[in-house]
Amino acid sequence: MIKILVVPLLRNLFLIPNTNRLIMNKIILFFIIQISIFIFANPIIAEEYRLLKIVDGLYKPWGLTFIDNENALITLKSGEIVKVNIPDQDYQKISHNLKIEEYGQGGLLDILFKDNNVYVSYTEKRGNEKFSTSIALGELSGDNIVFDNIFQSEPPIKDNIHFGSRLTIKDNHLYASIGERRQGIATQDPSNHFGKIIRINLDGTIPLDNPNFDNPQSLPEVYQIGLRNPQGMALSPVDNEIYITNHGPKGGDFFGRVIRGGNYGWDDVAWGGIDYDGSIIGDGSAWKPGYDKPIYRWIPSIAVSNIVFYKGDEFKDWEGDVLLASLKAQKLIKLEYQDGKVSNEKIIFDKKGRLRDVEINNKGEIFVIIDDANGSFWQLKKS
Amino acid sequence: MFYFILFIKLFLFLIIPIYSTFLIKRRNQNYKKIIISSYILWLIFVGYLTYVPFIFWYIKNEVNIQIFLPVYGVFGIVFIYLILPSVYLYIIAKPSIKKISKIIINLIGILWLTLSIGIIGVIELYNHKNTQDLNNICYQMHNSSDEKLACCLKAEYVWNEGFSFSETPSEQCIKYMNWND
Repeated sequence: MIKILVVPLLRNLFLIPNTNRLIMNKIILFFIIQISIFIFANPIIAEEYRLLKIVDGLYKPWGLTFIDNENALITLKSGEIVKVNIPDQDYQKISHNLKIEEYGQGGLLDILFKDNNVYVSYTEKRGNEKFSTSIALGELSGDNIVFDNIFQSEPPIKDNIHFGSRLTIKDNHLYASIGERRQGIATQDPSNHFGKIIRINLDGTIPLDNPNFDNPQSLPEVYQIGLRNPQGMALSPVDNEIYITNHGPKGGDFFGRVIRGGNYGWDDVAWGGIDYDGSIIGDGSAWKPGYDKPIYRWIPSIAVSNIVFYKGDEFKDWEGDVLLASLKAQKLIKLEYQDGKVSNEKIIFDKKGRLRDVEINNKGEIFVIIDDANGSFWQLKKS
Repeated sequence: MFYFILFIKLFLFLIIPIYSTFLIKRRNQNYKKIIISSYILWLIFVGYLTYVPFIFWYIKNEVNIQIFLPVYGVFGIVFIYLILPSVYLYIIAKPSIKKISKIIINLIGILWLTLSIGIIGVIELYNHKNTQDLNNICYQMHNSSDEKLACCLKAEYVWNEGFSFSETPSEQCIKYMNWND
């Protein structure tokens, strides 16, 4: 087709003499093939790494979890769950009983698969246009899940931002990050769930050893307070601790540790950020004694999303490092983290889209999802 | 200096449509291009004064700002302000219009402009106050050398323990940005 239509067209266009036509044909064909490969080939070429597209056409994908090394579940913000077969580069919808609607930054958010059980965090409408972050548990049976709520954040309010919503399991406890819903200093009050890390048992019951923050009104699920919008959470296989990322305001995104009874101080402190209108938050302090200190900060913000600690064979040199997805900066970042300190920050790739989630399977293969109306699911490969 | 620039901005915002209206009254065809050009200029100016700060925030900061103002918001703002010149060009210019209607339209126009100036002025003054608060942190917390203070005053992000820039900082300033150490 190219040879029949395009080459004669170009030949006539540039009026190439007959004697040089054979050589010119080859040159033109070479460039056409190269350009075609560049435009239509599936992988995006990066310097050291490339991204292999698994599927696209996903409406605002948010959370990713692996059933096994070949199958993954992805949540779409609009409320759907899809099961992706990675080798076949195909997906099918999983039906479920949750009624979810997209609500600003809310909708169906994170997903976590463990022992055939599926945990999801989502924005639940609780009457009179009030919404909260809720967690539901169901069992995957074929292509269907019947969910039951195991947690509802309190109180539900009318505000469509900062839902947090990452889920992680450690030692038979489910940890979830709950956003502050623009309630500011209310994150300092343990009698609500705004800006908190919560810890519950895997069946939704409440462990007896959660902290009480010296406050009899403290809600029993609350484990750590004082966060803004924690949208990343992962268990480190190195020290068996849970780590989070948290969206600061204008500046002040951070990576930090989940600490029992801890308090990150929002919005008495703003981790170096200021408000969107340029005003100072609190007295302008990034940190004050008595509050938990972030391990690593970004000023300006990069819009930190999910994190995962690398463990596996495919990128052996990265063992124990933190992979971090960013939305605004559209980067996959690797943090070399050891003994409570980040020694190096490296950009693995950038400018491919708003990275909402990064996860690894048991083989150590790395996957990311790009949050967009035409969202997509990719695998990171070495070039 | 800030107040002088603010005065010029608001004066231009007010005077361009009023001047154009005076030209309309002369009913001279030669003025038509000037009138239309000045109205277009004014609409661009309106877009700059009102929408550019939102776009600026969207590009520079975290992603949430689009919730407050959609990407096509600039067209909405310009459309709203398009009503005023449209009314003047196609109604006031007609010789048949009654005097009382002219007075009412002129009053609405002046009220519209005054209200707009009030809103824009308050936003500008509020932003200026915020900048001054940040500058005060620089003077109090980051004044150990003239160079450091100068860097801080140029920074977009200022807090008690440090400061930072939206773009890559200059060589002189980068050495003061070590808050992760």
